[in-house]
Amino acid sequence: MHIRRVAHEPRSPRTNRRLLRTTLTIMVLALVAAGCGDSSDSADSTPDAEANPPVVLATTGIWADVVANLACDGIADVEAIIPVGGDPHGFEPSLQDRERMENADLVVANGLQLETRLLDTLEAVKNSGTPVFAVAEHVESIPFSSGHDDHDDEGHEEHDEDGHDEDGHEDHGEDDGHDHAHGSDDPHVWFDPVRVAAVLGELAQHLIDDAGLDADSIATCRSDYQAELEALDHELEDLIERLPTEKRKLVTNHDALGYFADRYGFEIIGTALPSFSTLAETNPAQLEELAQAIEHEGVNAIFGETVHSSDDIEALAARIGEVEVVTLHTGSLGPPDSGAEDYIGFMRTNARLIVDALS
Amino acid sequence: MRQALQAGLLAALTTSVVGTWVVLRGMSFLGDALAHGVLPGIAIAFIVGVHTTIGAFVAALAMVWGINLIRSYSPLPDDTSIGLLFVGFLALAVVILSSASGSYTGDLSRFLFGSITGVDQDDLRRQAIAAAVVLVGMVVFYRAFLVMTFDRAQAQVLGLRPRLAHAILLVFLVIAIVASFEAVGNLLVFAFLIAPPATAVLLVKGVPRIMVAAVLIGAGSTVVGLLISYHHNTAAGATMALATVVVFLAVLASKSVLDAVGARR
Repeated sequence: MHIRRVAHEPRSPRTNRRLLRTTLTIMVLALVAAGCGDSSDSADSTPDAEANPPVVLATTGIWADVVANLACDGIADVEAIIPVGGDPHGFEPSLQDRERMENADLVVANGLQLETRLLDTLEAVKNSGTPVFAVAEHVESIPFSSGHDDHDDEGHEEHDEDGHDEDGHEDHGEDDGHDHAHGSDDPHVWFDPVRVAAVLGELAQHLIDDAGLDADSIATCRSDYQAELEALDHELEDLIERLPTEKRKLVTNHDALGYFADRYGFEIIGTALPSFSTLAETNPAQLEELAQAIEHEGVNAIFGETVHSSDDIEALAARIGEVEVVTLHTGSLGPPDSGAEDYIGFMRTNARLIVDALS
Repeated sequence: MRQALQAGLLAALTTSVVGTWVVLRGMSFLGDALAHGVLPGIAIAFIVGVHTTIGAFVAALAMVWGINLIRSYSPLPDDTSIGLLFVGFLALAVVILSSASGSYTGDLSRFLFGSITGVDQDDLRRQAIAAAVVLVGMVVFYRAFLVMTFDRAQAQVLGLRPRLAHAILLVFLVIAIVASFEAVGNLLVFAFLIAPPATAVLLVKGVPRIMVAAVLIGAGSTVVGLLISYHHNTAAGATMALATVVVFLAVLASKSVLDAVGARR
């Protein structure tokens, strides 16, 4: 290690002191400027206690819509943390989001590690006393790759073996926000309206217990919504009925449609990103196999998604040729007028897109 | 916000104090390398399910040991051995994470950029302990570090064992990095390590004063960065890191202007 020459040039101590003082003054001014810079956003982040209805925050817009339907007639202030079009896997919370969550009466998360970059924050919010209900952890979930086992044609065996099955860490981070290992269950439970309907009861109970909502109002809302979800399920069944069984084959950008496939009898041929998460990367060998599988199965459309770049899936389509790429709503509701701006519309739009593309 | 602020301030305190020696001894590159050297440890700990702090600590120590090993067995200059392990460790971390899961690889970015919104009481407690250890260490080893920094020969004569002192300093450096990366992330903790002490060096003389000024500057930058981040929804870690560097540049610029004006008079 050599010795560095540090600030040896002669300078009057007074200049230095003046400089230090100037620096500190500038920093204090910057503080003040930053602190009262924009009062517009800080105003609405401090809700006054009694006057307003209970605040329920859901991580995704999908769950926010479901919660809003349970707490119908505006008996709770329900908002989503992740904005429309945001990818729940990759969404990074801001300091304001953390504060909103801490001030909420209840936070509804999907769970099963869907919100990868919210994990720490959700954990911290829970530790600070805000109840957090992870919906997907209360439905009958599908372990990774079970949706893929029912076809064993040559060529894409590999897909089932690329390491998702290891699940030696059942105890994912109960009281420690740092040791989250990989979830072994598919988190995309909202793709099955029957499972969503099945969890309404528990969700409603949390709205009553944690957010203090009126049990009778919730019961009315719940029975209405339950009926709507059942109607949706029948509607989707009828729609998909039109698609011959041998055409019910899905190739998606990331492995998001497992529950949809499970409910409506689709087979998942493969995914461009070999993962439950959009945060993964493709690898050339696996893409090659997938391309072969698509040709072998004679699939005429493959599915990208609104919340993630479709580069990989488009490259895949280009390589095969004569395959259409259709963009689905996956982790987020659609913008207004997209037809997918609420959960029911989201499911209906997706189902139509899938059926139209594959027939 | 309160917890984020506490985490940021603890990080600034710990890193500024250790960073003063890093800057004075001209071992910034090693500091940067160590900040990344913790990554494979975090990756392995993450996969095995051990606390990531332990993994980070082990990896950083392995890196320091590796650098010393390369230094003693090869004729290469220090920065080459540091650089080799720097990039080696970083690549190792990415490879480990990508091979292990296939499903949640993107988590790497959480370590690179930190997640100050996820800081909770446990993290704060760990940070506070690290800060206390580092502060006590700085007092206890002050003379050894001072002599080692400015007069290695004399250190030898006085029996202060400069090599040992260097190793001890590295341990404190690792503690500071590991304790702070949660708040600001691996990639950005380096800003806290060197920018505030570098700014302080421009302003005051004498190691204790540099340390105190560095802590003040680091704390100020943290607060400014957090407030900007809060009100304008920018990434917290990066905004704080940027604040430390902007403060340095602003001080350097105003100092140069003041010096020029002073010289003309």
